[in-house]
Amino acid sequence: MPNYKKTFDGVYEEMGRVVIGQHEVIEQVLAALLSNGNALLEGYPGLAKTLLIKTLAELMELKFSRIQNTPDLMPSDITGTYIIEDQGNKRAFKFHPGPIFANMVLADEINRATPKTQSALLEAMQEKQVTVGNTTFKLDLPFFILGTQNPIEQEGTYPLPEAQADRFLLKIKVDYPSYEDELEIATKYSGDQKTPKLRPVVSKSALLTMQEHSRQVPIAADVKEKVVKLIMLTRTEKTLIEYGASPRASISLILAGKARALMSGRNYVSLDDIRAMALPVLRHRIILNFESERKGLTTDEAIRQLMAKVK
Amino acid sequence: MGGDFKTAFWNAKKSINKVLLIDSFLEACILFLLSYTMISIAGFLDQKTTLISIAIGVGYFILKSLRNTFTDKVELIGEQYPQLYEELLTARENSPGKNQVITDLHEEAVKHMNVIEEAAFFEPRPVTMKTAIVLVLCLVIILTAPFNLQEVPLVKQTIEKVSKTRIALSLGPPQEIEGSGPSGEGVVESKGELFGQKRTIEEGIVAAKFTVATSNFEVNLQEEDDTSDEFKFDSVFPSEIGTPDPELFAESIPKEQQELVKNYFRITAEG
Repeated sequence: MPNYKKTFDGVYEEMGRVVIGQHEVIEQVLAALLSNGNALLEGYPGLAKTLLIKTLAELMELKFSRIQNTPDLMPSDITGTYIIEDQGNKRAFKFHPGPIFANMVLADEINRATPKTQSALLEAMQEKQVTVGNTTFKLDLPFFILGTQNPIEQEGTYPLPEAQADRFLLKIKVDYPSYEDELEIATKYSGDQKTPKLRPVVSKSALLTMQEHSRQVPIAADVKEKVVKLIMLTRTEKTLIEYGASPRASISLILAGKARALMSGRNYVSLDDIRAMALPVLRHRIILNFESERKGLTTDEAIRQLMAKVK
Repeated sequence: MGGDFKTAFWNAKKSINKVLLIDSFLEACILFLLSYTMISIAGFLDQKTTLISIAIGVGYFILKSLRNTFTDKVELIGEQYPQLYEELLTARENSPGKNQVITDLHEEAVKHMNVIEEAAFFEPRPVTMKTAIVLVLCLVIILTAPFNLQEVPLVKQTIEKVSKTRIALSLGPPQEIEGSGPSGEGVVESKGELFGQKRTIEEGIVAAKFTVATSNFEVNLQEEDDTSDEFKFDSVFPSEIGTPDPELFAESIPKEQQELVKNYFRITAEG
């Protein structure tokens, strides 16, 4: 088995030519990709979320599509629809696939779509298939949906229902770049330099193999127990949390940990992997209680407090 | 490859056990020497107490070695090589051949275990300290052997305190005795027990140690029949030393109870 650290170092290097900084975000997006999961990116506009995903698709030779969610977007706009076509002397219905038929789908501002349209994504996210009418279409693998949402401007939005949020493996927070990074961004993109041509680092088939290997990464019982203890704590620690995470969170945390281990070139999951992935895995799966919100506690702080309690 | 991991892990375990054995041995030596020194200072040194000291040392060594044998070696390795802890733990729990990732993990683990050095588990500071303590205790024993340390006031006081504590522990809180002693005017308090005060009986448990110093008098065995006239003390009791009235020490056992006891023995003797 090849050492994937070198492969991912190559990915980071190539990404670095286009996206400045955001190493943690890239790592988490890759972890979601390796775990065959989906990710929800939350960040203010203009933080290179779309650029990051487009670049990643380019580096991995994946078919990329983008859905700009708006309140009038219909499910058929995503999944595709049957249209009547002339076929010689007769007319027949022919399926025209929507933007969901890609390997990497960017659902921009996902919370602006109506719940009906949002739920159209559910089947694709979970089952990797789309049903239109009576026909079910298998999606081309690897399939990865990356939803983005804006933490501000909540007017006219439809916050993702818990059931749908839980289907995202990770909720990745995109923060503002550091001073140095922003200086570099400003210099790079305000000049006459053209966007660099990227070389593909990982092929589609290699990515599928990596996903397979990621699942095979073993995890020690001790580490696994700590994961479950953490998830159980989210349910029992009523002084902080109103609603805790589901068992799906345990599975997601282990899978994300495995992916991170593989990316780091390790054949086992360490507690560091779990610590690093706990925040993106849990932050959209727990609801703080009134008292915590009154104190201004964030979900990330609550998770950190719980992590400190796990022994 | 799995066999390789097992062998490598076994070798690492053996190396760690060796180091732990040295540590346990040193600690057992310290315990033995400490108990031996204490016993000899307290003046209880004889064959039996020496054996007790040896038993303490050997017992500790056996217990510690057993504990070390059952200690999780992965945890010990993890203390010295934190980066290896989770790797070894995972490799130990997953048998190779399941899939390529686990097989690779075993190969890596074997490679890393070969880097483990015995010296990493040999902590020089504590071992040096323990060795120094052993040497110091040996020196203390050798150097104090010609002296009677029991005559040193501090040691004497400590021994007395220990003896008193032993009595107190065995008897419980002491009972009040009024005016006892050679010049005392009172009478030893009686609680109406058959054999006098309870304390008087219980104190009998503590063995009194008398040392009879040989004095300058002779016993002629040939004239054994009339020795009474021959006994001569070369010293005279000073006049100021008086003997207190024996009645002062008499326990006030009621007459009826004395009679009761006498009757009991009389009846027993008559059958």
